[in-house]
Amino acid sequence: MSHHNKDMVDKLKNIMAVDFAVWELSLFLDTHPDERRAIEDHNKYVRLSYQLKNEYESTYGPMRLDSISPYPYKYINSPWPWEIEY
Amino acid sequence: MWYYEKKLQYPANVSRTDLGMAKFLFAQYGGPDSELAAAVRYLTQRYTMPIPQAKALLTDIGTEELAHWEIIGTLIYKLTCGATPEQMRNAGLGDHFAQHDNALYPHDAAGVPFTAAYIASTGDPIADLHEDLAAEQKARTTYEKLITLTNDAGVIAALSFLREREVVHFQRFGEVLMLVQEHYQHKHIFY
Amino acid sequence: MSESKKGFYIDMKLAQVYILMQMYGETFEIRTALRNGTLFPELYRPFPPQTFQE
Repeated sequence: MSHHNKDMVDKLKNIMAVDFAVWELSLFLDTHPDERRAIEDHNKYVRLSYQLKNEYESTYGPMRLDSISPYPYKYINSPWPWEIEY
Repeated sequence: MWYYEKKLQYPANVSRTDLGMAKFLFAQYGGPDSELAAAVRYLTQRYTMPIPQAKALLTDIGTEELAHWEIIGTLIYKLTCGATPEQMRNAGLGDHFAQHDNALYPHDAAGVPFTAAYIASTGDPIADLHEDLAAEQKARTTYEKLITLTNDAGVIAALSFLREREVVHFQRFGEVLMLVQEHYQHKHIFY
Repeated sequence: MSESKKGFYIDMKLAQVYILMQMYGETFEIRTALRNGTLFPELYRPFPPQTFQE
């Protein structure tokens, strides 16, 4: 198991928490599409997630293949989820 | 289509190598009520759902199940990391080692390979949603058994997360069943 | 139909299941939500079951 730095893991767990809120609200909205407050909260966390991921990727490399990549292509080397100690 | 994101839905840790627990966790990697079965079930049934809420929910929960499959895979990978053939054999994973070394394979806790026979897709939305509600309950009780089989705090935390997701999915499938029943009532179709 | 009679509800049909639609209310702080496995306190059912005494 590779050890990664604390800052990386902290940032990743922060993203997980925000994305989990987005996910829960999305499932709720699938069956309650006209719940205005849930849509507002959903969109609030979507914006925050976008911001946190940009920040994370600029330091630790792309999380997705459609993220902007530096040279050389960094997606393959940023840590794989099952190799990280959280 | 799908995009992969290099992140787990939940930060899954283990405290130590535990081959026995890894063996049990295969129940949720390739068993009848596994995360794999759940993903294939919902992502297959969604095509014939009659209302937008149901198409959306089966797509989204089916996708989440793939993320859960990855969490189970991560737990098994971490629990078996660096295990020797002899340790694998002593833990009852000798047959697994013979065929798969330390690699993962979608089989259940007893080594029975995954099969599509674990899922139903009847084309009847009411019947399919009842299967989905039952699937969530079966997965919930499997997680409860797995939780009682370990004292590893990291494994318990991850399994408790996954167990609670079954409760939430049960509620959502129930809500969508209500909406589908209402839809048929408006169309004067009664099952 | 007497409302005190357990298991009987008005306007419900036999041979059909019912579940309550969730109402949007309070939510957990997001880190707590991730730890608990749900954003919604009313859906949180920890295992083993906890007994509360008030």
